[in-house]
Formats: sequence, C-alpha cells, structure tokens
Amino acid sequence: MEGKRLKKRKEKRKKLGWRILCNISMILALAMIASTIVGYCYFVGVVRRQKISDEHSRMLQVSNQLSFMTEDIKRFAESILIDEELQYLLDEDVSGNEYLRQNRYDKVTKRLVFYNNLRTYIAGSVLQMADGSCFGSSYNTLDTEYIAQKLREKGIAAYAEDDNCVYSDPYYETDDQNGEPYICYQVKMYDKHHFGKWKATLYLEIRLDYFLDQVRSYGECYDYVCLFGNHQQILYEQDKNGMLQECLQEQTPETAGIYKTKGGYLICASIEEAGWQLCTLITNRYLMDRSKFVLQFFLLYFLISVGLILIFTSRRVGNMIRPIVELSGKMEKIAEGDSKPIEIVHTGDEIETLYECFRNMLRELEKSEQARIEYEKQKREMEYDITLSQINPHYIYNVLNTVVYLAAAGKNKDVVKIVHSLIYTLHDTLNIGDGSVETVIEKELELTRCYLDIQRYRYPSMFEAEIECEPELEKCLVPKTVIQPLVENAILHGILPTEQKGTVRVEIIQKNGKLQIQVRDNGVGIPGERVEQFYRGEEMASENKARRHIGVSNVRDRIHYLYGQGYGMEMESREGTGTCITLVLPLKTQTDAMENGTEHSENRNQDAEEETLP
Amino acid sequence: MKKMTGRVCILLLFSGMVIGCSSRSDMENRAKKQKETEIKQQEVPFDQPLPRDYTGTLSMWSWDDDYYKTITEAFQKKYPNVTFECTRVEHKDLPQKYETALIVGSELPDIAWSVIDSRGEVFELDMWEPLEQEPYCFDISQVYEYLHPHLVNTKGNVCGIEQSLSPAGLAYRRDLAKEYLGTDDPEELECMMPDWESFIEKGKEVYEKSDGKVYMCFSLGDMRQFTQEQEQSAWVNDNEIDVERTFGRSLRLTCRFRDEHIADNLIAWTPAWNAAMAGDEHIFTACATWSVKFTIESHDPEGEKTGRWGLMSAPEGNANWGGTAMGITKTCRDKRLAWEFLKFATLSTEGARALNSIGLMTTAKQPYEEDPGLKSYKSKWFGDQDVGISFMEKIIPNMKTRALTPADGVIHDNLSLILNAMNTDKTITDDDALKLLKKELTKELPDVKVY
Repeated sequence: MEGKRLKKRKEKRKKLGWRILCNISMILALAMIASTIVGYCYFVGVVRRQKISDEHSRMLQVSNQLSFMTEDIKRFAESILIDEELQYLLDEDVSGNEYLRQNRYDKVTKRLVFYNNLRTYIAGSVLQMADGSCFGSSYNTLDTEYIAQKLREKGIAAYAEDDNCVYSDPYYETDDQNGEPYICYQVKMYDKHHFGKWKATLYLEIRLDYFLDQVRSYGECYDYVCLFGNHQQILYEQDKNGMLQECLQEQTPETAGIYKTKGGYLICASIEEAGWQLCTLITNRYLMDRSKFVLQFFLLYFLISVGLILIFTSRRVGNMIRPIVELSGKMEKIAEGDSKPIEIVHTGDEIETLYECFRNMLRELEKSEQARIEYEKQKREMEYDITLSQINPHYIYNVLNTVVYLAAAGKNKDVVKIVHSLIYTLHDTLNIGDGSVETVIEKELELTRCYLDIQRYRYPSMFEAEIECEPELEKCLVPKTVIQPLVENAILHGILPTEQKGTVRVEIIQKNGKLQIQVRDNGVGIPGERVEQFYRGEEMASENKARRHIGVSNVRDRIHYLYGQGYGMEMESREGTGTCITLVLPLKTQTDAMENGTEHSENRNQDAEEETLP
Repeated sequence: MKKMTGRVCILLLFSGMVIGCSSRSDMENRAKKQKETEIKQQEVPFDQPLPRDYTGTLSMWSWDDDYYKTITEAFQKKYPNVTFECTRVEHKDLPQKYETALIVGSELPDIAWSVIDSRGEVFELDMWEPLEQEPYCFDISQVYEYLHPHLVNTKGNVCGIEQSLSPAGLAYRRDLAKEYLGTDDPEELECMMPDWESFIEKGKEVYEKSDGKVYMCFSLGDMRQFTQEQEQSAWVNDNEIDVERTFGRSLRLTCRFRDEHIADNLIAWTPAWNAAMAGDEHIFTACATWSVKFTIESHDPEGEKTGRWGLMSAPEGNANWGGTAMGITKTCRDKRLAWEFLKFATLSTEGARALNSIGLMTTAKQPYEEDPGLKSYKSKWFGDQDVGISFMEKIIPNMKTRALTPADGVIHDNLSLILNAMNTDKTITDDDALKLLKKELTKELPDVKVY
C-alpha cells in the first residue's frame, strides 16, 4: 500500500526536463515578447513617421501642382490681355457706327474663343470694359446688360470687388444647376497710353474639375481629403463617416502643417497662389494598416525564433539532464530494494560529482545500516543483562533465609508455597525472549500475588493487601511487569518505614473507555520535590540504588513509549498519609491486539520512516 | 515531451509562414482582378447589335442638355456598362474649337456635333468618319430626303446624321390672336395671312389696336432667320454670291418688321426674350420642333394650364430652322460603340421613342413605319392640338430647304451682325444692310465673287 502511494506521488511529480524546458520557454517567450514589443513599437513609430512624412510630401506635390496651375492660368490670362489683335480691336473707335460696334464685338469674342480653345479647362471668358460694356465669348449677342446680369448671377460681380480672393467661389450655370461647377479668375488690363488707368477686366470661367481632378486623383488612395476655397468654403470633400469634419472641428488648421487629432494626423498644405488649403486626414487605422507588415514581420520573427530555440533547447536540455534522469531511475530502484552498485557517468561537471557523492553516500548508508543492526543487537543484549541485573540478589538471599527458617520450623507447606512463588516470579522476570511486551491483567495480578505471598512470609503482619479487578477486565492487556513494581514500592518504601501495619490496595477499573490501575498505600508518602521530579520526567533521584529494581520511572517511560499521548502515569502523595499511583492504559484485549497488530506495526514503521527522513 | 515540443514548433513555424505569405496572396488577388478588367472587348460586326454587357466610354461636346441626357440615358438602359463624358460647349464656339483641336493635334470628342448655322464649314473639316463607307455603310435614304443636303460635305461624304427633324412654322398665342386677329384657329390664320405682306398689315393693326403694346413678333433675329431659311437656293452658287437675290427679300422684310412695329427689338435667347414668352405683348414666334420644349414649355409656366399656344404654317411657306447633326470623329477611341450609339440615337425606333418623350422627331423613316404613334406629340401648352402631327403633315410638306456651303458660317455671322446693328440702330435701312453685307462678305470671302 505504501509502495502504491509512493508510485502515485512519483507520477504526479513533473519531469525535470519538461520543467526546465517550460522554464526556459517561459523566460525566452517573455524575453522575446518584451523585445518584440519594444522592436515593434520602435519600428511602427519609424514607419508611421515615415508614412506621415511621405503623405505630407505627396500633398505638397499636389498643392504645388495646384499652385503651378494657378500660375499658368495667370500667365495665360496675361497673354490674352497682351494679344495685339485684341488690343487693336479694343482701341478701335466704333462710336456712332452700330455695325462696327457689332463687328468689333464679334471679333473680340472670337478672339476670346480662340484663346479659350487653347485651354480645355476654360469654359468661357468675359472682358468687361471700364465703361461697363462686356464682351462674352459664349454669348451670341452684344447685350451688356444681359452679360452683366449673368456675372451677377454667378457671383462674379461680387468677386470682382474682393481683391483678397484669387478665384471666385464656385458657381453653376444659371440654367443648369446640376451641371459642373465653375470658378472665375480675373485679371485687370491697364491702358498702355495712360499709366495705371484701369481699362478692362478679363474674367476666365474655369472648370473647377480642372483642379478637382488633381485632388480626386490624389484622393484615390485616401478616404479623407478636403480642398478649402475662399473663406474655408469646401470645394471638394471626400469624408468617409464624417471623420474628417470631426477632426477639423477638433483642430482648426489655420496654417500649413501636421496636426495631431484623436482620429489621426491632419495634414494641411496651403496653396498660396490660389488662396486655398488642401487637407487630408491620415487616420490611425490607415497608419496601422500601413504598418501591419511590421507586426507581421515581428510575429514571424518571434514565432520562428521561439520555434527554433525550442527545438534546439529541448534537444540540448534532454542531453544535459539524461545523467540526472538515469541517476533518478537508479535511486528509485535502490529505494525499491535493488542494491546494485551504480556506474559513474563521466560528464566532467557537477553531475559527475553528484554521481560520486551518491555512490559514497550509498556506501555510508550501508555501513551505518550494518552499524545500526549491530547496535540493536548489542542493545537487546544489554537490556537482557539489565533485566537480569534487576533480580536483586539480596531479595533472593532474604527469601532463601525465610525458606531456611520455615524449613527449620517444619513448615513444609509454607516452604513449598514460598518457593513456588519465587519460581513463578523468577520465571516471569526472566521470560523476555518471547518478543511480547504485553500480558493479560490476569497474569500480571498472579505475579503480584506471588510477590505478596513471599513478602507476607518476610514481613508477617506488617501489611495487608487488597486486589480488586472486575472479572471482564482480567483478559485486558497491560505492559509486562507494571503492577508488581508499584506494589513493591508501596510496601518497601511506603508501609515498612512506618513500622506499623499498613494496607496496599490494587484496584483495576474501566473509566472513560480506558483502563485505570490504581495502587494506593497508607505509608509515609513521597516528598513534594520528588513528585515534581516525577512529573518533569526525570529519574526518581532517591530510589534505592542498592536495591535495584524496576522503578516507577521505568513503568512511566514504557507506558509512554508504548501508547503515547493520552496515556501514562499519575502520582498523588502526601507525606505521612500515603501515596496513590494511577496508571491510565488503553482498553484492549488480546483479540483487539491481534486485529490491530498489523496496522499498528505499519503505522509505527511509517512513523519511524518519517522520523528518519532528512 | 519531445513529440509535444515538436508539434508546438511546427505550429509556430507554420503560423509564421502563413503570416509571411498573407501579403503575397493579397497582391496576387489584386493582379487577378486587374487582369479581369483588362479583358479586351470582342470585335462585333458593325451591322450586328452589340452585346448588352459591352463596356465603353464615349465623349461629346454638347450644348443641348435635354437632348444629351434623354438620349444617353435611353442608350444606357440598353447598354448599362457604357458611360458618357460630356463637355459643355456653346454651339457658336464649336467651329473654332474643332479647328484649334485639329491644328494643335489635341483630342476631339468621339461623337462630334454640328449645328446647322456652321455645318457647311464644319463638315469641310477633315475630322469626320465617312458614314456612307465601310465599316458603317450608312444608307442615307433611311432619313428624310429634304435633309440629305444637310448631311454631306462638298466631297459627298456623309459626315453626320441629324439628331431630329427641325421643321419650323409659326407658334402663336391663341388668346392674343383671338383678341387682336379675331380667331385662334390655325387654318383661319393661315388663310388670313398667306404672305408676309398680309402679316405686316395685320401686325400694324395689332400694334395700333393695342396702343403700341402688342407686337406680332418677339424679335427681329428669329424672323430674319426664318424668312431667310424660306429661300430654297444655296447661299453660294458657283463660287458666287448674289447678295440682293439671296438675302434681299429677308433683309427688306426684316427692315419692314422693325420700321412698321411688327417685331419687338428683343434679342433672341436673352432672359428678356425668354421672359416675354410668358407675357402678353407678342403673338407669333418662329417655332421648330425643338422650340416647343426649349422655348415655349421652358419659359411659359402659365401655358401648361391654359394651353394657350397654337401652331400654324408660316406665310409663304415653312422653313428648316436649326438642327444638329452628329458624326463620328477620326480620333474616336471606340468607333464600333460610337456607330452603335449613332444608329440608336438617329435611326432606331427606340431612339425615336426617347426623342418623342421630349417633343423631338427622328429624321429616319423606318421608326414612323414601325410605330406610327411617333408622329404624334401632344403638349399641354398647345391644348388639344397634336403638335407632332401638325409638324409632320402640315409644316414639312410646305417646307423649303437649301443646300449648305462652306461659306454659310461666315455669311450667317455677318447676317447676325447686321441684324444686331439694325436692331439697335434704327437708321440702318435695308439698302444699308445689303451694302454692308456685300462689303463684309467681299472682305471675309476673298475667293468668292460677291455682287
């Protein structure tokens, strides 16, 4: 049964190699995770910064492109104004001749159309003279009021008065609100004959899509792009889920730059030539997507590294701990009783030392075991010798004197009786070779009675003895020779010193499920300091060394040894009054002892083993 | 333990490989999709219909939004994967725009439009696919004969097909006609004014009767053009222009319209002219098929409820007024698709139905045979009168057309300038106008004999 328990316990124990591998793996994994996180965070930061920088550069390219387009429009408008034919027509005097006026109108507008056709993004143009008359490239007739009305409807008239705006606000054809949007660019013409005199203003109607196509093209890769026109008016917006607007409300970009917002980074570039601003939002999610490859790389790096380390570590650890595992196996076999000598594994390190030490330890253990067996043998012999020595020669001498006296007096029956009692006493005293430490009360009382019979002949009329035992208790087991020594003490040390007749009373009862043996005398009693010595577990100091016998301490120690806690001996004594010794013993019969014997011995063995464990 | 460790390691390595390969598979998918979209369209013969899922894009330079939207949407119902790119251009600017594109070698639209005013000049530009030749093999007899001279250039190539018929009569306000002329019946009015002389006489009466408030016509411009288009002869014959014979009648009538208060001095197509459609000061206006929607329905909201407009034949016959042809340019990227669209828009019954929904009438004959209902078009502005039937059965049979010449554009521009001058300067007489015209044409057309 004990062997099974040990086996189970061993199975529950983790294997050393697995534990080492687990520990290494855990340490490695933690180290790798830490380094991976640090590396990932660093490189993600680098990638994110690079990405933002790239996006900023791209946006600057677009804004530069839009600036260039504005510059081109400006140059183109100026080239229209300096057109020689146009200047000639405008300087022509047509006053008073309606046909010439109509003809000039036709030619000027055709000139404008000619220029318009050179740029696909120009939808039309109007030249408004200082006197208010207009030439419109897309208008069939000379109707200044009509063209002026169109300019008002499109908001161009208001734009003409605002010098802060490069382009007008977007507008649609008045009869086609669902068509494409336009913006207007104005450039002033001055009279070459009168310095600084404003002569006319050229309005170029430009398709807004010309600019927006650039922004759209840029915005193909993004979800969030916004082009602001005059007074932060939105010219183009690509705003998925309204996130860009949220960020713009959170952070109002007044100048070009990169702004950090909750949703990501707001990158703004100003198109100074046009007075516009281009913004894009690089969301955190976008940056995360773009830096995903870093995560993948580090995850790949982590998995491959850990995998390879585990493969090689497991093999190396296996090789390293193999001698220990083998040693463990050998130790297990030794524990099971196999006493084959072990072979030393030469690893050249602490393991080899371990083997050597273990081998030496085994040798030492063998030696100490043999020494212990020897010691036990010697001890038993000594105990025998001690027991034999306890048979007091003086006691035998006195008894034999009494026998001689009785024989001389012709009291043969008494001689027979006393000798018989002596024989019984000696037999029981010397009977130590059967291995049993307990006997039934019946026998113990018989020994006591024999002893009392002998003492009655030696000290006639000096004491009376009373023995009371419940019949059902007579078969109960008690340690050998526990009652007789107490009775002997009561007579020799209690009653005889009084030189008066005394009484010794032995009472055996069952109390609280335990066996109680009480030996009471009305002798001289025991001094208090000796009682204290008894309770401290010390040897009773004044026990008669000359008359060596099995004393009270011997009985106390044996009971303690045999039954442990809850059982023992108590002593009550008062000087001049008497002494009462009470033994408390387990209540058990021979049958009980037979049933519990095995378990008891196993428990004792186990306890003994536990006590011997380091 | 070894087995366990081995499995863990394999799992880790496999996971790593999966992660490593994921970005690669994404790229492959993208490339596959791109490949799928790059599958070339199968060649389809020009006389066979295109598959419904045909994909392509056509570009146009347009000024007529109603027509453009109607016809392209109808075509897209048939071919949903076809898209259109439209650039808005004033028709007046088109000749110059085409010329510029040809000179600088820039891109022309896939489908080019040509308005009647400058068609003679524009069709001479070497930018048109000859539709009568392969692979189009267009049979010009599919369209009404009177339009044939408008579809070919001097080389005899068919450069385009007319979007719609453009016969023009006179539209009139029934309520004003009843009040000032005593009747709103078109036939009675036609009998009352068989020629412009009687028209002028009646106009004088109306002007006097209304104390100078009500005119017979809205503007000189449309009446000048209408009376000019009543002439059957080409403007240039044998490289010669007889100004008096060709333009004298129209200019003298125009001058009389002005001087005798028959026409107001509003300028055509201006907001004031448009607004006058809803007023009560003008009775007659030249009215082509496209005018019903473009001029009357768009600017007289009251007319929808009252049906106060009528259509009649003009004095001295009707005219072809306006008209836009569409052709395929030589730079067209998908000529097969362009031809399919052209056939749909101008020759098919489906296209004719789409045109009919906005009051336009196809120039092809077959759709009317397949669906006689296409001749009919009723407008709430014209009450019970079937405008479509009136155009088809009354206006067209009584209509004159002329052959186009390359010089027509220049002549047209000069006539417009002179008209505008006459409109503003009342001292310019018909003789002055003719002299001016002769002088300007001589200057503008040095290769043509003007007399």
